[in-house]
Amino acid sequence: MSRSEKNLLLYLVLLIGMLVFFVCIIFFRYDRFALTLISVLGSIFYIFWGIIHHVLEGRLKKEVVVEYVFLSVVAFLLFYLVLYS
Amino acid sequence: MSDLYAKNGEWKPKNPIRKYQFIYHFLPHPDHGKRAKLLSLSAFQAYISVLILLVILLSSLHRFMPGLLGYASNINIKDLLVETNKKREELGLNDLRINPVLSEAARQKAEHMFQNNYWAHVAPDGTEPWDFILGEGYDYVYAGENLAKNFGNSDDVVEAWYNSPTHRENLLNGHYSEIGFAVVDGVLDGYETTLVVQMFGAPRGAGQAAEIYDENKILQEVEESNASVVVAPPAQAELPAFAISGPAEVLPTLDVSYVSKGLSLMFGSFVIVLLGLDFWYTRKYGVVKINGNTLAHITYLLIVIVSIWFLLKPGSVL
Repeated sequence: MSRSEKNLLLYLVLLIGMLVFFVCIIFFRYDRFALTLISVLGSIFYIFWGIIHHVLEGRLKKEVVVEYVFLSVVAFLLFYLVLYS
Repeated sequence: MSDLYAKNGEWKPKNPIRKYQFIYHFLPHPDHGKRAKLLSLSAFQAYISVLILLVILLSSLHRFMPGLLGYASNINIKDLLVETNKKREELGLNDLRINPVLSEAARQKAEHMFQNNYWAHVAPDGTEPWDFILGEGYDYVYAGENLAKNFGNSDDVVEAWYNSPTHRENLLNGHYSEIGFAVVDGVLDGYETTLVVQMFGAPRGAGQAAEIYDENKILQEVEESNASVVVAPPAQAELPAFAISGPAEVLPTLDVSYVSKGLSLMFGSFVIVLLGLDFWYTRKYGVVKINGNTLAHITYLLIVIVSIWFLLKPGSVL
């Protein structure tokens, strides 16, 4: 598999993941517990996607992993702020 | 030093904005090979800390400034009844008739929740919904209860019940023939809140159902009965006090759902704009740096922001 094919596949996985994330939020929009769970799973999925993406590109660094973790935590907290405040 | 060039023996920047160092708070630095300062890891740590502080602040502000935050709403019983029956009609089910006895039971349930500061079908002292219904002398064959809080309008309440399988079961149950509602304002967990209680019933025997039915009159009576109950905000940092007073509306200074949603959207948009600038500048000036995938970050945050904007409506059902 060429590098561009790998990239295409990875972006496809990300788009499908995001789509599933969005559909789940629509479906469970009145269930606060489910929304919390979905936002946690969405964040975990994104961290793993980022790590795999950078491993396949051969440029995984500690700072990059931390960046994905931080961004995912920010995304989760944005949800949490609306859900529980 | 990729974008510097020699001219008359002097190094000058190719990109004129480089002389304004402040700009690297928002744009990646070509020499350092790093993201903008406001997208650095330490900046993200600060964002996380600020968001956690906001969560703590919004969840505890009511203890120090009761009545400042709450949920403003415009819910009325007539709309709740119309919307409920509309949902039933769509499936060919019978319309439910408003019953003042069930409405009184619903009102007492709402008051009980405010008085005892709980949000559940069964009270901490073990009181069940049926206790309120039977307590009002309503003898039933079938009965049910739906609860909602913090919604802005009647349509959203019924839509939320309709979208929850267990509540829809009550809403579309063909065994029920009567319904009662209560919409009561008060303070729950320190927030100005509107509780909606919906009670369903099928009376035992035909006697109760055969009475002359004047929906408008009953609705007016129920609305008046609901309007006469206001749970006053606590005067001190104690459990919410309960008071019966004349018709009044309890409105918070700020609607907590709008405050949290607004802050969340502003914060998310701010990070997206920074990432967008990073993406544009990196492409335009060929900045070489190792970091996460900016486009993926933007996509993820956009999905989060869109979800918050369109889908996370205030309110919850039970």
